[in-house]
Amino acid sequence: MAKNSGKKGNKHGNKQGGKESKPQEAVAVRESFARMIREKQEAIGDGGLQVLLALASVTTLVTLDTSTTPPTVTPANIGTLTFNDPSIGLTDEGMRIFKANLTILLPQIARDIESIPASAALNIGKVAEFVQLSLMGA
Amino acid sequence: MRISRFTAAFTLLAAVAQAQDVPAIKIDIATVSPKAPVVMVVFSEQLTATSTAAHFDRMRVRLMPTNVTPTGISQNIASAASLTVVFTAIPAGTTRICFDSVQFTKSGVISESSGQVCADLSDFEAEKQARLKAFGEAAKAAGGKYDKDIFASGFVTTASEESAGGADLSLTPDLNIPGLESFVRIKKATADEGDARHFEAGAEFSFAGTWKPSEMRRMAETPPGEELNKLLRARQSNIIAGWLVDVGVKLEGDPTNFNVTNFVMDSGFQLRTMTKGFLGRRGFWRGFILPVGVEAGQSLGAGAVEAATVPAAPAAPAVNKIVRYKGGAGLTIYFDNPNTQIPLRRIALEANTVLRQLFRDESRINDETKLIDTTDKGTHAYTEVDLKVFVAETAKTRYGLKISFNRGRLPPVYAEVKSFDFGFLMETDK
Repeated sequence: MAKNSGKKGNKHGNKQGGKESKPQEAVAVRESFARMIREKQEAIGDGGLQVLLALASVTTLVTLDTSTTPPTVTPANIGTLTFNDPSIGLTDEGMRIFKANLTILLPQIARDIESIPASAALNIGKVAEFVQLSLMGA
Repeated sequence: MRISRFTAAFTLLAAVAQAQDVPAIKIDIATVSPKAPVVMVVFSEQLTATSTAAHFDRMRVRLMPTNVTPTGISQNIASAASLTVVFTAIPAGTTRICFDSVQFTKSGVISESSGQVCADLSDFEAEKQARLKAFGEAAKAAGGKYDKDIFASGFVTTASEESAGGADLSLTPDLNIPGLESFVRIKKATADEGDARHFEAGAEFSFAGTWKPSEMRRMAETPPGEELNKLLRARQSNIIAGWLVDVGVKLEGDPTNFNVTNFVMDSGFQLRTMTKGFLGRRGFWRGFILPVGVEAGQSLGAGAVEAATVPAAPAAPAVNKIVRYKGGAGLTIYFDNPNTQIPLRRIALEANTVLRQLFRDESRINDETKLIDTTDKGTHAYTEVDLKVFVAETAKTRYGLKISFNRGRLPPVYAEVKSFDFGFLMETDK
């Protein structure tokens, strides 16, 4: 009986303690999780750098200096161009290799990258924005 | 009093006129990350990267109606129209984001928005799906090819100086099956030695891989800076960019009467080069090598039908199985100088060759009788060299000439081709 009472008492005591500590734990977990996401986002950024690295790995017409802030890219108006623009020089086949490169750089959104059509007629800026959207949801 | 009223009216009119001169800018996408207090904002125009521009001022950007200001704003280096706006938290009830002012470029001119630029926050998944749908439509509109060349009024001049009409079409209809690409190709002319009598239609899956993936992995692990620059320079010094494996099926036919048709399984492995710039980025070259490919299938109808319609013609031996090795290569050289005073504004040279080794007898045209009454094994090559020279251009369209040299034999009837084609060319940018 005493054992049972003790158990009840302990259980009750634990419950009271839980009511106070669980919200605190939840807040701490949330903060920790938010911090992890922030750190992850800061490390990867919006994916713009990875898009340009993947592209510059298929065509030497695109150059990138990552030692400046923000990185310097040539051609400067790259976001307005399509992959098959003469100043980029990709074909649909080159676009497939660009996607393979990007999948290595951003494996966490591999399925989304796969869903991008392998068409060099796509706009580079729009693809970069899609990658940014994908990373935000990853 | 009258003067001051006049002055006020004039000032108002001037302000209205000035406001009308400022190009309009709006927000196309404003959506909240489902995982973090981050809003992605995409504008209709390219924003400037000037760090002092109003759109980077955290005090002049806020969520509405909660009036929360961000802790950070950054621009996507691959899309100057896109910003990532970071908050400590996005309060419940937030419906909108507003920028007091944004600085943007349009047609090379830097402008400031005439007032606040605001947008309602939209559904994240819906935005992703809308973007994918837009990609599909853009790819469909392009038809899978950048060059929309119309061999308008083109004619074929063969080695014997005959002239005749011709068709050289390559279409990529969209079957809306992910990963599957369909194609229809016709090479047909009425001149004897200019007619490849080649038609094929089919679909294929393509798998791509990067060359030296370890280089890409090292770039993925390296933070921005000199070390990453060094890795990228090493990467760009490679000749090969990646590889492709294509596997598909196709129907081959003689487009004259389809008396010869084959059902063929087609597979190939290609190495694709990087696009390499030259002459200060005014030109580039790129190429591919197809070291190995296999075509195997079944004849669905042979030349015996055509031979039987001519009483004197001997019956052609039956063709059953088809087994071929296929190899090839291609090279594109491109030069573009829109500022030149001479008429040669753009030159594009494309050379492709394919070689087929036939391991089983296949129907082919008899060069003497001009009938499909014989069969052959052996090696058959086909080479095509296209030279496009553009002499005039408008904002969207270029005009020029296309000169094409074709020599060799293509399945399914392996008609001998020795021709120069030329025609007027009109290319439009999609």
